[in-house]
Amino acid sequence: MNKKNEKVNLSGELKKLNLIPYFGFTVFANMAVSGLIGYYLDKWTFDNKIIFIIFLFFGMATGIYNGIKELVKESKQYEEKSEKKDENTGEKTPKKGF
Amino acid sequence: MSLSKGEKIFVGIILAAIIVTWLFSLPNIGGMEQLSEMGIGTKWIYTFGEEAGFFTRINWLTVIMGGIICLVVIIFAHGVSKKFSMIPNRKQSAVELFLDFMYKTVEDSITVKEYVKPVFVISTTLFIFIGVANIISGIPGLNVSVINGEPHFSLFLDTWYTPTSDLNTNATYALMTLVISHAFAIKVKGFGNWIKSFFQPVFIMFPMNLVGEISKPISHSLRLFGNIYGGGILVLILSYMVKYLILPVVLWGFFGMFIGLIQAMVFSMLTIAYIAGQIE
Repeated sequence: MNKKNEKVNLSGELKKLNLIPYFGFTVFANMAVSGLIGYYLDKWTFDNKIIFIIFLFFGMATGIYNGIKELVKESKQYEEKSEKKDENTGEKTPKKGF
Repeated sequence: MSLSKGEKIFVGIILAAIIVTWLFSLPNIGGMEQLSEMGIGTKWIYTFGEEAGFFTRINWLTVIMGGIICLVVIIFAHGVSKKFSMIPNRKQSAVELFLDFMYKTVEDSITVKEYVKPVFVISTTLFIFIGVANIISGIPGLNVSVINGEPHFSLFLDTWYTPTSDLNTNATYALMTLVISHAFAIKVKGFGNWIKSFFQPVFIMFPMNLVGEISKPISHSLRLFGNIYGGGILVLILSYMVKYLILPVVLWGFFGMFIGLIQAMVFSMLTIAYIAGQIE
């Protein structure tokens, strides 16, 4: 197929570009929420910053988990879309991704 | 490139206006010895009532500019809808193209057909408001900064104040998106299945899923706020360094219009994605 004739899906391209900052923002936001919860829990209990640090690490793990979950979901969507496209055009594209 | 007579006159008027504005604001710029005197990052906040608290503070410009943007959009929409015809004019074609693009984007993401229209309405409304708000942050106009506790009005030294540079605006939209997405999820899945979705894939993941959900509006709102507010401060500092000679126009165009429109698009895309993720 001639590549010039292919229509560029602007929203799809933006979504793809958005994935990288999305991951960073997700990790940061999760750490912020978890850190805030940890800070107040620590303040109201032992007040020795241990719970705060534990919650910060928990936030990091949560952020990475949620970020990767989103990445896997997006890559599955792309795969489904490319499979549908292949069915329509009769071509085969090599499988990539996770 | 050759310009017609009308275009030459237009460019001439714009250039003359820039030079006059620059000359007019020169004494003002020269008087600023330090960046701290420019009131960068300060906001004109009015406090009423006896005690200063969360509910007794108003950021005037956010309210005023938000209202003005709404009015401008409504007047534009009224102007387009009044002359609606089968053979569209320029304005109508532009609006139809844009709405068609948004509808297709929503249709691609939302799997439940009956929710395509409500999600399209929500995301497009958000895009239009945030888009217009961000575009005016690339146009020189009236802005207010607080210096030594007093509001200081500046004309054409800075761009129009944009409501999206106030975190309250973005956080409101992000929270609204969160509430709407969960309300739709309860409607589609039922209350029991909605609660169950927090305990997937295994029961232990509940705290992770909960923190993930709470953090969504934070990342959603901070992304827009950071880009617009940070861009504004960066332009102010760079403009101060070159004494408002050439650079601001380029930077205002880049940070205000280009980055602003992309961020508005990203905000509405994320709105669609969050709602789609919930009602899947």
